Amino acid sequence: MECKVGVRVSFYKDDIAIIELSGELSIFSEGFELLSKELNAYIKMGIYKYILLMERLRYIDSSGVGLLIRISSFAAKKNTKVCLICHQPNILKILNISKVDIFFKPVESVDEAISYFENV
Amino acid sequence: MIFKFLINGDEEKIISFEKELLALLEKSLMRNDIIPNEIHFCVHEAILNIIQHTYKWDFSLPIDIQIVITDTENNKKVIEIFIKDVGKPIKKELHPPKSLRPFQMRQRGLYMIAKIMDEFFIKPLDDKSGNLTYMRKEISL
Repeated sequence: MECKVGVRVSFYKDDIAIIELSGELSIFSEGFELLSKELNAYIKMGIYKYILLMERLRYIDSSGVGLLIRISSFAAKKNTKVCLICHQPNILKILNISKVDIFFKPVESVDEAISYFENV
Repeated sequence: MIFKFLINGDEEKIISFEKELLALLEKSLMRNDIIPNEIHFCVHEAILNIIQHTYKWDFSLPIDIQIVITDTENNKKVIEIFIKDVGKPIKKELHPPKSLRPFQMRQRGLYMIAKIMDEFFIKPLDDKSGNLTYMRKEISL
């Protein structure tokens, strides 16, 4: 039975991490621990500008929300927000009830997110 | 309608159960919108709470799940979920936090369950053989 989170990471100008998540972001998902370690590494490197692409993410649990809190709290310390591209109603609802949506800036495209960071 | 499940063994069984649960909820509640997903999320969080805090990641211990769906006179459905574990009983009935601090990690799952369901608590079983997680939600058709 497959339960896996897909992760693709790229960087824009070395300081903006563009992270595309797909599948299921749950503590039981294959790839969850790796993603957790990867995000910790980015924080240690001082990366605080994140663009999350979650259009292909089908599910998130509180542990997944915890990972997002980790990067969004680091971003908040640097007076910025994590840019989020996501229109999935069930994902947005979870972010809303967990009260973390206020730390995200919803955007429609990577270009819009980059503009946001360049003007912050 | 009453559905009973017993899960124990490993993560695969939990994942398999959760897949089955979502299909069951969509069929039983006759909808494939956000509602079955929300209830599925709550069951997942309740199981996760037991595995993490009561069983300390021992997947071999059993979790007994009963889902009861009843029709009401005013054309609604009521879903009740009873989840029993055999872990150390908690000292008193546990209710979720009423609010969360901005970056609070602990109890976030319980808080989220309470926001989705109409009723939610965890209490020790009367015979002290474990705990009961109870959730209830009324759903308009």
